[in-house]
Amino acid sequence: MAEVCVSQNFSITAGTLGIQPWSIPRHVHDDVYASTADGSITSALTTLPGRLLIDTGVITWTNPSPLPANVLLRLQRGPRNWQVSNPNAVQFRDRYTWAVDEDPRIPDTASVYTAAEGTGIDVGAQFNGTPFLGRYWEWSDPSLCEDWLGPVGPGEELRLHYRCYVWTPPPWSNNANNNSPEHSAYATNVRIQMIAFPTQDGDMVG
Amino acid sequence: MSLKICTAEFLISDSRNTGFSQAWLPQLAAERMATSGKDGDVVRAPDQVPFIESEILWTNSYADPVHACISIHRASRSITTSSPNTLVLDDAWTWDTGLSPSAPVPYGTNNGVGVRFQTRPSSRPLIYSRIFKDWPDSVSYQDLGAVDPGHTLHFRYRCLFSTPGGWRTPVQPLMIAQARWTRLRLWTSPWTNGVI
Repeated sequence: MAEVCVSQNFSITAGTLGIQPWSIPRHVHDDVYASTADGSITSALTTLPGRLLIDTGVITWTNPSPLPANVLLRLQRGPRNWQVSNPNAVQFRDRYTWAVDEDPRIPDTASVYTAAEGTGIDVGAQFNGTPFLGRYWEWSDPSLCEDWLGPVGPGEELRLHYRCYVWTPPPWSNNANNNSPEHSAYATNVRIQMIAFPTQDGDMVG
Repeated sequence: MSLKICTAEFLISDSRNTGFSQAWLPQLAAERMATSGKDGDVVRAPDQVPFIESEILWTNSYADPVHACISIHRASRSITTSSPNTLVLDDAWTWDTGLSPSAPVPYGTNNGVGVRFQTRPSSRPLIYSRIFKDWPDSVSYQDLGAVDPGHTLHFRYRCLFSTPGGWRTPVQPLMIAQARWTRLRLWTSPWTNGVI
């Protein structure tokens, strides 16, 4: 008897032809992680990586399908704001790491990092060595970072870890802004989405 | 042994089984990363100077038309400048599709990052003033429309440095621009009736 077989992106259940859920792009993770240490900076953070603002811990997704999947990672940084005084600098650094079926390395931003954001201003000092008055505020837009992760094989687990730090790139002046130092950093949050994409059944010849 | 059945577009069938054609699956079709060739100290540039140039040529070898879309992933960028000079890094892109497409050279403004830091009125002598700015990486999407079977897509991208407006020699000048890299990703999904 002649039979029609179908690829693993389809199903036949009790004689009924169907489409498998893994045959389309689908959200498999979507969560917002808030900063836990936003606020003023009252002393130097000149040693990397600095103050930890956001730590998502290890986020996991297990591929439940019989086909490998690639995953579109979307990191949506929330709106940030920061304030810096002459002649200092404030810089956010963030990083994500990922691995399949093993723990990714801790996303320390001391040497390798995904992105930096921040400002330093230097308008010099008076004759007595005290820095001139000078302050800077910024409110920035959210930003989007994407990456294409995988492939994640059937039953394999994708693990992701994201951290955001703030530090004050040296040198640091304790008497900034004419002895009235004002520094702050607010990272608000990061939204992390993972969208799994379908793949062709390798058994298809075409 | 499977019976080969007749299929319409976006399906295939052979003696092993029947399933979606590759063109049906939304996917990453091509990827290209280009690094900046000119990061570092900069001088006055009234005309735009390319820091990064990149392009993608992709031919639709499927039997069905696809809907193409590109994501432009700009690296974290940094600019350091001294009063009163403006430094700008703009991004520009163009594309063309057809049997033998040729996208024009991309130019453009107001699509990127830039800084100016002036600490005294223009009428007075300059004083020592520097600003250091970093921007995080970001992604922009550009819809490219349909690419018919056998047709090719040509996408071009440039990151352009310029110094718009006035220019003076600062006190202890320090002017640095870093664009780092840009990654282009071409995404395809099926082009079906009714798609705009």
